Amino acid sequence: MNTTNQSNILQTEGLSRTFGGQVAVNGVSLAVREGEFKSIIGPNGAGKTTLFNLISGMMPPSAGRIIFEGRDITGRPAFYRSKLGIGRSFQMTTIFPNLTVLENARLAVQSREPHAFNFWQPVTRFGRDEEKAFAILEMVMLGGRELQAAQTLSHGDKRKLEIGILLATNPRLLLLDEPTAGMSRDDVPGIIEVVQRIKRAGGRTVMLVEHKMDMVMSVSDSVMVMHYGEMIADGSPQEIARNETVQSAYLGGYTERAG
Amino acid sequence: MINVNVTEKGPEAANFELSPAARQRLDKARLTALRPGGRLGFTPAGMVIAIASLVLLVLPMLGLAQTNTRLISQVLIFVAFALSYDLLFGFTGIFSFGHSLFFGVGAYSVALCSLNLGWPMWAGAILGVVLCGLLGIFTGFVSLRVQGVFFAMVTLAMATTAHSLSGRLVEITKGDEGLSLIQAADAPDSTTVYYMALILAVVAYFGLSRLINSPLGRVLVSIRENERRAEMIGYNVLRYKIVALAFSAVIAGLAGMVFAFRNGIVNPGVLSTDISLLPLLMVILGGSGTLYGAVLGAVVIQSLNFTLSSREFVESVRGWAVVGPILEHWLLLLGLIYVLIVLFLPYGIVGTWRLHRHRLSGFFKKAA
Repeated sequence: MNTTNQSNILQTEGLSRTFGGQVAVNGVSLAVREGEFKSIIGPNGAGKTTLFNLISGMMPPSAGRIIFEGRDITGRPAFYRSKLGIGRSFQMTTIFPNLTVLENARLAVQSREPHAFNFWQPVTRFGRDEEKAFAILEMVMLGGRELQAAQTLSHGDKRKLEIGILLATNPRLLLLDEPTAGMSRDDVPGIIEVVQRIKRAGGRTVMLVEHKMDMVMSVSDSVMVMHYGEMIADGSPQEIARNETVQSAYLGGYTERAG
Repeated sequence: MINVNVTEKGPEAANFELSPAARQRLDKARLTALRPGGRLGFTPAGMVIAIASLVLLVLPMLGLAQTNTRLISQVLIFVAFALSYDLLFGFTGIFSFGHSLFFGVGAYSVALCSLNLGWPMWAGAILGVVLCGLLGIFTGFVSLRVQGVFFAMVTLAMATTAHSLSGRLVEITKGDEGLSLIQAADAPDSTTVYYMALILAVVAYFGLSRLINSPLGRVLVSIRENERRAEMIGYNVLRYKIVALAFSAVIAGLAGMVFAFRNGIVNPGVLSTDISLLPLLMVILGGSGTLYGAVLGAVVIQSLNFTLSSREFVESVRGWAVVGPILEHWLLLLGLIYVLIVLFLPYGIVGTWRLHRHRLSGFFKKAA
């Protein structure tokens, strides 16, 4: 895929966030091209999740700017960014536990519809939302579980549901925060399959925070490495694998542990 | 194993094409789980409430003593008040500690407009509804940015402020003496009040039933379930919460108005913390987030109130050792009941029933 001519969908300029005296994200300037699949790796506490929090609008940055599709969204609230097309999953699965799997996805579909403020007609009047929700649940391999309460799903399936919720809002940019975290070995291939489907279907830009290196190396177009809040490298998976700084900061430890 | 349409037509096309198997499941679900209520559009609880309403509708025509008319009116007023609270507490997950603010403002607006401005009752009522709606929006705007207990504290502070203002502004409100509506020429009689209360309760129940099954209502539930997720899929959570508070405030205000007509007098008591606590207690006792739980809670608490604070009851228990002095004091009993509910029925009557109904129905089947 020729990506050099494509414009940047997301850009940050000197993005920083401090907590008290602690610098969590330190002057990160990154650019993500439209349609790119970009992974962010780095040891725990490197600032990956904080970076996602800043991009998705969970917290304001201490300094710097965030530009999404040419628009400065630095001070904009989280729901507004979601409306613009930034969808985000959390490290701790964030779904609606007591609602059915279908309702979880349906609510996400509904969020893009003008009838979300309708307080008089029953939701069943808007059958198209249900249809879209069913289709999305199939895409994330939850077909047949639509009427189950979301909390009765396995950990892996909850993760798939969360990704389904994101897809239902038809985002332009997906931020996936460690989708395989805390998952049993049996559940991991399913998640990888879902992530690869998103990539195959095309049309979306994905940023992925992940520790599973084989997954990162196989799905990513580019990999960015964070260390102590700073971006220390950004390049193709091959370049990153060869990079000596990265090796000493992060990957070395990982290959040993994986071996 | 995997049965989906991942096409190369981009995300829209890939997302929203339904496979035949999924289509079949959806069609089946639409006939069962997704159908709200039964064939008549009524849930079993809605059916019971509809029948009860019809009975209450004809009851005065069969001849009802005035005390009973007033008694039932009071129950119905609190049914509506508890329902308004359930929308906040049970469905949106907002914990307010100052719901008397809206109840009291509703009551005072009819009384003040009628007595101080000489307006007809209906004009005062319309002003009261508008006022309560705006007050709900205002309260939400200033205080819903903080969550949980903090919001509860802010609402408590606002209601307490209103309470002490109503007692201090003697020239307008006549302070603790209260405003007597009985002098007003167009004050409704007890049968009219009864029908007002009945209509209010019925409209509140069926109106809110509709609301909670609407797209907006489902968003409110999603906020209760996971506020962060609701925000992150693009819902302006603050705005939805304010809407919920405004709806709730209007119903609470209407309940306060009918309460004013029923009592014939409005004093600072309508803004007191006692009034704020009642709907909370009713919703918790009945079971939150179901609407009929709120109805049940209001009926049970008000019936207990009437029975246990009646002169007959108080006189009959006066001689009893140890428990006598406790039973004599309704509020003491109420406190005790509250503690027992929290300890033994944390999900309320309805919630406990739902948890154990399978076991119970099995038991009844065996017995039969």
